[in-house]
Amino acid sequence: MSKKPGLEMINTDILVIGGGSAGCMAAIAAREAGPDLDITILEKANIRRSGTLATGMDALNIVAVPGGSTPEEYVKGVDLDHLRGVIDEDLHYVLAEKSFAMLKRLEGWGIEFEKDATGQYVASPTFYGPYPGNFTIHMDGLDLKLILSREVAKRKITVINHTITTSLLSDNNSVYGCSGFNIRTGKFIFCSAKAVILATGGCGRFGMPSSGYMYGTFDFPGNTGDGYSMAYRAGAELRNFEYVQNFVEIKKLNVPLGKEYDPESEAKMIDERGEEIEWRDGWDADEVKLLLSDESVYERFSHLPEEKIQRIEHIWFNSERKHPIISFFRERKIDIRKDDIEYGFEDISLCSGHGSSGIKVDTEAATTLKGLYAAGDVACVPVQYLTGAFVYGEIAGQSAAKYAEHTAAREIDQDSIQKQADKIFAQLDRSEGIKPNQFELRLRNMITEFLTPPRNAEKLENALNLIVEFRKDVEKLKVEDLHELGKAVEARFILDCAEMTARSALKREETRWGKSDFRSDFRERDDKNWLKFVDLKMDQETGEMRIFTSPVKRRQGKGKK
Amino acid sequence: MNERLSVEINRDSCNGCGICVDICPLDCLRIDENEKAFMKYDECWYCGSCTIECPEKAITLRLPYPIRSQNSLR
Repeated sequence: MSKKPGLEMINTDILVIGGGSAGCMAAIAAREAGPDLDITILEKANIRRSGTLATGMDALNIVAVPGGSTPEEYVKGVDLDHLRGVIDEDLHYVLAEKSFAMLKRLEGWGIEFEKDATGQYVASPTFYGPYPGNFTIHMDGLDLKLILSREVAKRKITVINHTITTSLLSDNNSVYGCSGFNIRTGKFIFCSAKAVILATGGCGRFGMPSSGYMYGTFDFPGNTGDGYSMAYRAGAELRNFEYVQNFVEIKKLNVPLGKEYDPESEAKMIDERGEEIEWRDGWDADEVKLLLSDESVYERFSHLPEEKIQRIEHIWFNSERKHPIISFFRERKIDIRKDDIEYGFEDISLCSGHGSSGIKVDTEAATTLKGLYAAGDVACVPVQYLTGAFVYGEIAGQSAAKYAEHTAAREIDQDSIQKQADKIFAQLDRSEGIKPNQFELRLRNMITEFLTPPRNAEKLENALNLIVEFRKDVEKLKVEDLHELGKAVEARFILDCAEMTARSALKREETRWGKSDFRSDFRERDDKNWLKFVDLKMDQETGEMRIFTSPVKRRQGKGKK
Repeated sequence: MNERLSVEINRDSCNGCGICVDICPLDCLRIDENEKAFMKYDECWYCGSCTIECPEKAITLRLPYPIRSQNSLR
């Protein structure tokens, strides 16, 4: 095949990278704020079924219904339950404050939320701990992605599918476009934009699942830290990369506990001896005990009445992971009326949806670079769930529209784009080299071995030494086709993420979040020294990763009551 | 080829329309020389998009075990 890529230039006012939940909402909000703006979404797959939500979602986990639970309660709960003092409270307050309007927006588009006989929304607990406030509202959301893409289509927004973004175009702390290529046609694109919104999701392909199946991950494996890496290379600050998402999942299936979907199910957790174990606070002592042992735990439903069994089955079979769950139950002949389900820690990932890592943003969804906004799992709004992707997607669209109004388009140097394209496509020309999936397998095995808690300084130093070697090998990748060329690009993103986690974890000399950051050489929480964020950025002169700390932020003017 | 893959396509009912190829979020599928869809890359997250979108209901999803060591299947 001819491997010289053709270049295609795209000019737009607002560029949204990633057409998932946050990206769709951002584009829609940008259109509302700027009726005359030219808006373009670049999507790695097809917007109709892309991102984490391809086949839907079962609930909004953060909704503060007026007259019910309050944003203040939400901020307190997310702090105590998840973040433990290392928090930027305004981010969470704004999220909760705007959550109900978001529910109403989705309702207007045809999503049905659970209500009781009197027409009130049924809200259940979001937190594991005994903190006030019920914020989870179940919804009939299987068609959510179809609805989002339909709403995008109504608004004269250009959608370019099957296009992987390879880098942001930036200088002097300002972002003015991106480059990438179409994985079907091989056309190399470069895009000039007045404002760029990153909505590329987290890094689902990070640790290796114990099944050995590279795509059998907890998080959507199409997201490979693309936005983390590209923003990092452009000079943006990132945060919380020592906090890995680490869940107890169904063994070899990488789907969360039944209790995660329905905390009120009254299922029991039992140990290998068949004895019931306490499992109240999902983020604390019980899970750390399991992390440090090699034992299995089981979830037991057999004591529950049929009605409750059916409720948990209904939620499971209508969740975003319903297809694997249904296959699992059918093929393994599992019936929760009699069978226990085995769980363990399966794979770590990076994502602010359920975890904490991301590009540092403020309440305007602005990153530390001019013209660059971020929303969804790629942005550091910890434990924001789907609601956060929508709320901050909306905010990012509004902010970007405002910014684009008084910003001029930039000229792009075509020669440098051509060089970039040639370098990427050279991987198709090599007669020998390393296959991207081979490289990725080794990299991700290293991540599992050295970056999965429990960690210690020696392990993390080992990881950093290995990363030096991986950086040499990544220059030798050889691919057969455009699909694999995409995998080669993704492998570099994953590698950057691995370094971010290794360096950040080495910096934080304490254990704050248990299973997400356990340091066997610093086993205790240390508020005296570590009530602060670990942030990172690329030194634009040396190309090295700089790790530094920043203070936590409490809300202004709170505590008056 | 008789390994059990996660995306099983009934070749009798597949009409070769290519919708599944277009919408697979992980770009796993392609159309072969006989105008039938097949799983080219063993990189499925079993999200189920293809099974829902197939107009002929020709696609069944299975847990992808036993797993394969190669990404590209042919």
